[in-house]
Amino acid sequence: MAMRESFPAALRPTGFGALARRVAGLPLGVTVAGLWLSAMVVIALGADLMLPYSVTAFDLKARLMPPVLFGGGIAHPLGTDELGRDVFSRLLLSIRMSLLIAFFGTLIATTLGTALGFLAAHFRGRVESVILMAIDFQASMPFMIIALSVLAFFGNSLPLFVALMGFHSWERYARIARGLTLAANEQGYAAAVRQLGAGPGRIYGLHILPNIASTLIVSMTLTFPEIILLESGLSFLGLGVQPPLTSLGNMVGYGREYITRAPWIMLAPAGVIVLTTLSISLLGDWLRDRLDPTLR
Amino acid sequence: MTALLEAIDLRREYRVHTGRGPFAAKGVLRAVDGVSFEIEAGRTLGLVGESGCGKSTTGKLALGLIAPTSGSVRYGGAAMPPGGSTSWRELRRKMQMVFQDPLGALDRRLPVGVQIIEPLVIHGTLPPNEHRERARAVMDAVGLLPHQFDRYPHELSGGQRQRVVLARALMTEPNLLVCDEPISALDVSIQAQVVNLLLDLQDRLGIAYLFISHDLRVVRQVSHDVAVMYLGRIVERGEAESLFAAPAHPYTRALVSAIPVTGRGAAPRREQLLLQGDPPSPVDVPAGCAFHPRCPFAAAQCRSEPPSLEVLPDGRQVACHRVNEPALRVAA
Amino acid sequence: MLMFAVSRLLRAGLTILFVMTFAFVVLRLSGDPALLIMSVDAPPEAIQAFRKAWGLDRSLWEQYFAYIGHATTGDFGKSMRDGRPAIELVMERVPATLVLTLPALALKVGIGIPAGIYAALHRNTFADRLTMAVSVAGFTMPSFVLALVLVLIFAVTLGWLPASGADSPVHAILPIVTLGTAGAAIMARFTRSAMLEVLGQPYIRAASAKGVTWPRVVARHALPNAAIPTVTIIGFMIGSLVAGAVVVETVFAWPGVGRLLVLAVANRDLSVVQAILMVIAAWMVSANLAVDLAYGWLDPRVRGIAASGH
Repeated sequence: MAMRESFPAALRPTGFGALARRVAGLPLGVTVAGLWLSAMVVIALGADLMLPYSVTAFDLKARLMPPVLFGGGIAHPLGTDELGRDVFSRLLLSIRMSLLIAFFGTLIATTLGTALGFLAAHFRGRVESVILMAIDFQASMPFMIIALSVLAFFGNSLPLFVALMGFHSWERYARIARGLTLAANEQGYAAAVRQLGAGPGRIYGLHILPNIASTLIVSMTLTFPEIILLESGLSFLGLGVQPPLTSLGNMVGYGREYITRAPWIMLAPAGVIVLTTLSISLLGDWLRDRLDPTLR
Repeated sequence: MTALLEAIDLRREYRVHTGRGPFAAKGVLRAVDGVSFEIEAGRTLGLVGESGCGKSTTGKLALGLIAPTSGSVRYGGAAMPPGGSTSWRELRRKMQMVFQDPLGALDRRLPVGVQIIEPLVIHGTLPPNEHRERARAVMDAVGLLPHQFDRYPHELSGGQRQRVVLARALMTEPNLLVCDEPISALDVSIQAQVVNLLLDLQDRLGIAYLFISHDLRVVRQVSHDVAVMYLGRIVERGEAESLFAAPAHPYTRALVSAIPVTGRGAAPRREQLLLQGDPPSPVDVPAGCAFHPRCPFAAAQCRSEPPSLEVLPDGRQVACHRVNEPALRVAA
Repeated sequence: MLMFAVSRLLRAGLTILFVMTFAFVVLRLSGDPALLIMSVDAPPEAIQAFRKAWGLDRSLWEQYFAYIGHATTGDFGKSMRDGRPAIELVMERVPATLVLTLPALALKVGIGIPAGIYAALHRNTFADRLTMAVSVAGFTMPSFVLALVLVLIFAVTLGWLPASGADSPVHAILPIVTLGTAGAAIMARFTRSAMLEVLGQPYIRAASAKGVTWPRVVARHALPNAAIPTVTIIGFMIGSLVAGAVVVETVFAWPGVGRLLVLAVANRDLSVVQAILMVIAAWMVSANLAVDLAYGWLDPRVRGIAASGH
């Protein structure tokens, strides 16, 4: 061990030891957040394989059983609902649905916003004015209202809903992309590469995008929890994810009926929502400090 | 000898708001107002003037980076293709720009070596396995060390960064470099090194320069010919040495007389020609000769009629109504 | 100052026009407005009459202008559910929403701002860290979760407060607290960072070095300057009051505009949805306008720029 430490840094063996040291250097909150989120991602990807029970499996003899430490058995660690369905299984599927919606929504918002920001900065003139007006409009109305209006007019299907989530906060990315591209164009590296003879694909893809990536990623850590909150709010109201599909929000909505008799049905998904958004916020704050000290 | 680059009556206007709010008045900013010049192969044309006189815009027009409102640019006898088009992009092999801020002109995230090679990747003039070889040769020519290939821009000094920018510009063996204030951002001691480097490259490779600067001493050093700009127009043009020794236009005389002279009483004290007033804004160009509000020799004609560039017997071009009056000429 | 106010007013008008256009476009895209707004079993003559009244048999531009005309006078058609004019339904519920949102706003500002200021002035002490920790909980918890948790504690377990309904002032307590808490947390965080930024400025140190007592420095130099960005946030909060109320009113079965919106969306009662959209837009635009004008009054730089242009 001592021998290793005395080697010059360039020659030190990399691998698990080095990784462990970096992880140990992180603040406690960030580590815990990271672990929680990793667990969530694993669930999101492999929920089907992890279900102890099928979500629709009734067990009328085991109705409204409390969770394992409150009087119930290990067979149903988070208790059961009115029809004896396992809460834990439903929770796993809900996590998957909510995370997938948030993930794709964030992806859509980032792609759409960045593309529009690039277009505005590249073409200027009327194109830019229209895009700026759209940005102003989006930023001035609370998205919940816009979302509700769209849901009223178009009804509710899952693809539409995910697309709608993708419209949340796209203006943030458009502003970033436009601002940083304009700066790069004026007297910056983008102008320099352009006059070398590079085409737009090279300029935006190889130069501008990598340079603004860290700022975009930090914004994504804001959008992701916001979409989780938005989706769960809408699903809670019965306007988001519709049964038989289940999400964290509509599970809370369902559990609301049983708040007096079986509060765990509501508390489990609520707890997951809070812990997940908290973890992403912590991670995002830390990431922001590391990647972009100029941002506050 | 046909000129390498010809600019013919270039004009560039911008529409601007002169007030605030949605009902503000609009005006026209004449950044470049009828500029013509030629650059010969292997020679340097220096372009001088105060900030805001339109020198940078002229440089960009010369390369076709921005389109003129009217007028044209010809390179090697052929018209300059519109900026951004494929033929324009191909022409970049032959002409390049060196910017004022070397740190801004480089991508922070890439090693400088990758950026130096980039023109070869874009234009495909050399097979990929020869790129590094070529980069090493060019880096050597500009005075960079081979190990600096892997450095990032922020790890280099200002002078080294400017060398990187130069190396990148030279990779495709251009005939023309437009240098827009290439040394203003550097320390004085480094400025001398870079200037010598530019002269050296011109000797060895036969590159022509359009050297834009507000620093007259440097321009005098590197230029064969000099053009003086004021409010978007060329007011005087001529061979560098004689222009600085015996400036004809009142504005040039004021500029030259303002050059600090070192040493005590070593050179004969020149007459100091002081200008009154502040430089007017390019939105509000005075009628007649643009310089007349500040000119100590302004006459009635100067206030009404804009002068055109007249060719004097010794080859000098001057835009001044009173240039031929011997009483106004002062011996150098 | 006048030019400034006029330009802001124009901008406000433009935004409302934009919202109307948005509603019009979305309405057109989603199908035949006559069939959507009137219920399926309306008699054909009524549908025809509706079509004529709204100009649906004319060109798109004419329809657009007819729509704008109707919208400006507040005519959005009748509610599908009970046949009354949509705008009436909305306006009669506005007071109920205000009963919740205005006290909640008072809570947000009244608790959030002092907490934020205190935290900024006592940076890195236990009080500061506590405030920040609590405030993080405040905005990561969605309002419906907070509402249900409060109901669980105070209504179900302790039985002190009613869980839903709007029969007495006591019924308003839990909804107001729910609405106010998240906002107070955000307010506290924001005020704290605005104060910290101002306190780090050189002019604060200069004032202190001149010999001005610290409380006076804070009161006369720090607070007014920190007020400027804070006012913007308050403005945005006022503007989005109704949005926040949507969930809370539903959980507590409070008969306000928010709950109406949810019901209207669920029933696809489009005239009511449009009416609410317009009312909210008008409300938000007015709030932003008030903030802009307050901004101009508070920040001499903004005024100065506007005044010197001609």
